[in-house]
Amino acid sequence: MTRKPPPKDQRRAEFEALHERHSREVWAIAYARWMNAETALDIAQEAFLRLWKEWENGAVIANPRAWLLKVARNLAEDNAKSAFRRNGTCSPHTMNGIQANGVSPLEKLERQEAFAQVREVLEELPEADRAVLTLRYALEYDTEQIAEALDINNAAVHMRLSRARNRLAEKLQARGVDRAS
Amino acid sequence: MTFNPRSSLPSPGGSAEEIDRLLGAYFQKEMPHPWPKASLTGPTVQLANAESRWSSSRSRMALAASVALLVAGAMLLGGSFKNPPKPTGLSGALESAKHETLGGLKSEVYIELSADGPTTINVTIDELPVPR
Repeated sequence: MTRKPPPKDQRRAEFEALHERHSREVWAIAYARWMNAETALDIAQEAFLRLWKEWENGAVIANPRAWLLKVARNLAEDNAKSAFRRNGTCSPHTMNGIQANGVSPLEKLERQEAFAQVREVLEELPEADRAVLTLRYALEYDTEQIAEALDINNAAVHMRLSRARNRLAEKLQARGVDRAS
Repeated sequence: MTFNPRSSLPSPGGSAEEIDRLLGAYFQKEMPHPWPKASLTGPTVQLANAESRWSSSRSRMALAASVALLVAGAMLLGGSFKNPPKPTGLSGALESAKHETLGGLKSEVYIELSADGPTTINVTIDELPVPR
């Protein structure tokens, strides 16, 4: 199905609006798969680039958001054997989003240690649970938004969120107990 | 959910609120800041699936070509025995042997191998003229 393509300026504006609305979500899906912020960003950028190319070829995509999420999932799966090239205009990423001003070195160390423990536990969780956690805590999505993004029902979101939180609490507690002994 | 860097981090294994704070802080840290703008010159991701599909397809084609070559060779080899050339030294050897054993008989042997299986052996024995 083809249609007369809109002017390039209009198409570019639509593209940037889509990026603003959905790029973080696409990133979250990729992050849940790979637990790597850089890789997830590359995948998200690639997904949007492919959308742009589809538009350039005259394709009509009825639901760009669903299309982007699907492409991101496929790209994340194919990532194992892929090579990425970063362009120089990309902003620095995977840096602390929290300003370090006023944080003592000891607090910084404690934070890093806590995050390392969280990361280890997250890597042990199923990808489906990580997706729910990423959307909830990175994007601050509510239950309905998570359900819509992952194409599951609200009950499933609650169940996965609860299960993931409980697992995390148990594992962190166990690690805390092991370290204390 | 906002994270106050000045507040102490929740202890691992703590309450649900503490887990929420910890997870919120972790994921906010992981997200790129500032968030990059839309770019049309992003990284190129090579689809590993497509590449592996092409590789396995090439392998299958190579295998099919090898098998076809083998079958064609076998058929050609089988066909080449339909009209085999006379074994050049054979009649002489048999002749001499026959001559010695049979006294003046010339013999020729043809072995015919056909593509469909049966092997035919033709033996011709001629009586040599008696020298004067």
